[in-house]
Amino acid sequence: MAKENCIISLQGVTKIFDGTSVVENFNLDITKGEFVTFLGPSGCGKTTTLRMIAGFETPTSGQILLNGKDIIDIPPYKRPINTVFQRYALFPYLNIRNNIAFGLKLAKVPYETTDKKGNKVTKYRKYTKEEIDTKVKRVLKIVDLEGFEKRYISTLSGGQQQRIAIARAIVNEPEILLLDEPLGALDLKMRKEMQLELKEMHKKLGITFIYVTHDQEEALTMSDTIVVMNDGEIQQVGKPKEIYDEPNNAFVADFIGESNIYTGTMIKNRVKFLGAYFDISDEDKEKFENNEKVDVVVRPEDFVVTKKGAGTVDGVIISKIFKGMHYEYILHVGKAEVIIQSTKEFHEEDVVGLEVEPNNIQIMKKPFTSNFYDGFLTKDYKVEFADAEFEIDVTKLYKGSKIDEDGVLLDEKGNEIYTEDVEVNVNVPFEAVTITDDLDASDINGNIISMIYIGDHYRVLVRTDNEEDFTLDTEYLWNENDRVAVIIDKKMIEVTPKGAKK
Amino acid sequence: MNDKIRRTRFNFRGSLCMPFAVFMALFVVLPLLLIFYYAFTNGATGEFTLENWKTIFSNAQNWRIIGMTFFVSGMTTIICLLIAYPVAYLLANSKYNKNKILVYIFLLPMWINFVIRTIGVKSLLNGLTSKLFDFDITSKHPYTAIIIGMVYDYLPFAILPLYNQMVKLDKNQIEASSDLGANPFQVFFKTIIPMTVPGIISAVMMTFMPTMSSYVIANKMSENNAKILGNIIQNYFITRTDANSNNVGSVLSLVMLIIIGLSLVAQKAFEKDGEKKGEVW
Repeated sequence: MAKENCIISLQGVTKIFDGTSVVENFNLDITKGEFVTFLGPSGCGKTTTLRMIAGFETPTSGQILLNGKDIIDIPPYKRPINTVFQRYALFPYLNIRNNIAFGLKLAKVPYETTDKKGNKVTKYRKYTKEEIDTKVKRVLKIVDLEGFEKRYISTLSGGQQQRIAIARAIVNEPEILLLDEPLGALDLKMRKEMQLELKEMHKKLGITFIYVTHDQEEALTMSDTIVVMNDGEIQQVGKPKEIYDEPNNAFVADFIGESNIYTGTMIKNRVKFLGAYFDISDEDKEKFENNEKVDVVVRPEDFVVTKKGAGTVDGVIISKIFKGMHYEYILHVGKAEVIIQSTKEFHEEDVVGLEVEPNNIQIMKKPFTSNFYDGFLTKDYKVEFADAEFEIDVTKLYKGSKIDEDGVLLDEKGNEIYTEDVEVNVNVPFEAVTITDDLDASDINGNIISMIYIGDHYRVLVRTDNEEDFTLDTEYLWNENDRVAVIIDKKMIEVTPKGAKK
Repeated sequence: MNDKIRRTRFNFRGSLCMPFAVFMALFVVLPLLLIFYYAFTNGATGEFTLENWKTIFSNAQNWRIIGMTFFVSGMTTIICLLIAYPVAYLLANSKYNKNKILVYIFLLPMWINFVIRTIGVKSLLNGLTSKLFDFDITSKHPYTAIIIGMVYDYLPFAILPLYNQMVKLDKNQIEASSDLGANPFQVFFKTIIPMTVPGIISAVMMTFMPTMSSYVIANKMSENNAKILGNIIQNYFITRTDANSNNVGSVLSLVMLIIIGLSLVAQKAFEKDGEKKGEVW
């Protein structure tokens, strides 16, 4: 199953903390010598995945294969994997030399020798002091801190500590180097420098790097392969350019770089968004059906600005920011907002035309437009799901049924139907869901997990304490982690009987 | 004008430490000077003399008692440390000590008067040894009894600084140690112990210094069958009433002061430059 040259393979890895799944069904093969980045917002499970590879966490299910062998039961100290920690985790009671030599002093080196009977046997020995000194010297040279052996951690700057942390890890010549947001604590300039240096180091050492970051620019600069994660699941795996140019879904498009994301409709081999019809690439024509609702992504630099009326749509410039290399404009096209970048100068309130090359329009299948739940009926003909009860027209569920004057549900033949605990599928369209910060407004309270801006509105994901998700569209700007009450328009709840069960 | 205001404010602030200065002068500096004076004078005549020092150090038994005091304090400190270290480690782990109630349970004995505590331990120990082994520990092994009593009394003082150090342990460093190839055993000796050195030093000071000077525990636990330094001092100052006894006792007090002073110097030497000082509380 694993591809050739694969050094580490994660298969169906899932991690559940206190009933909440942090990483879900994670499948990934990493090639030897690759620079792989796990990219995602905080809390997306990227660090947990890294910690499972290092051995600090055990997956709830799934396998982690290192060179084809399952390593889940192998403790961290026996894995040929080293970690550069987010806060470096250097030892303040040791000097630099002994910090770096920490792993070397513990290592056992195999060597061949002949025993008394003349057989060849493999024995283990420790590194000698001279060997350790040479190795320490060599890595200090790699990280550009020669002659720092005698100093203590507290005398170093953040950037220097960072380098020592890297030196301490690579001196052990691990097969895989894990880096957990190692540049997070550095200032911007230092970070840029270290990015290039890390990339250089990766080339020189030939070790497989697995890098965790929430900084999309960092990921694009350094990686061979980017794994975009959200909410414990892989969203997309690909080369930086693929991820940027052809995002799989609205989340990836929104997270990587700046994007204009709209809801569009496929109409006769064209896509309609911003109130106009845009030509699309031949490839996309085959992928989508007529009248299908889709997500459309256009990068700000892919809009071509023309004269008023000459483009596909016209827009009014609302704001203008000079960014050095180019101007960034925010336009209004009808109600929708468009961010564009152009080297040409325009003025606020100018009306300009916009067009986009067919190849620069990314069209993606909409993940879904409805929330689905498993629910069940109560004996007084309500439906219960997501820990709340809703009144519904229960007669729709049973053909020919009616409710008599005593309020009892009867079937065609006039027998009473018992609805208690009957399992049903519940379908709540996005439009049926609204949220409010008045927590008493409904029984369903939750926190906002994510928000994606889609042209003229936000798509918000709300998660309740019991892990039920509600997706909805709203015009208003909320913040992540806001506590909200979820209001459901009960008229729009669709209930269907489950499967073929009676 | 401006200058005047500043000066009055300065004086006001300075005057705030006056009560403390008076207290220190009356109850710390003056007694110390008196002890010093007594140690070198004859109680009856008031003349300068070194006779008191001779009285103490020419007596072989005094030397033995000083030695035993070191032994008892040393043993108490080592045993306290051996018990307190794992206890503090468990207490600092939130897995076993979710709401810190366990910490309070371990520190609860500190709330009870220590003489009462000591008498309680002695009764328990006496009862146990006479019932189980049929011998009287206070007369047969008085020093063992003293060590047991001291360990019991000073264990909380050893746990607390260690616990305070261990809750501050950086989990990342322990993980880093394991990541670099240290098995759990090596993690403990190469990372956890070095990182808790300040706590260990505090714990040692908190048990060694008070046990060196204590006499009530020795009195109660051995029922006056064994003596340590504190007991002879008590003997010279309280029990004996001849004219020169306070002066001889002062010599011993000075000796104790020097021992404690030396152990403080040793503590300072132990703390490496640039490292955080061991916090007692």
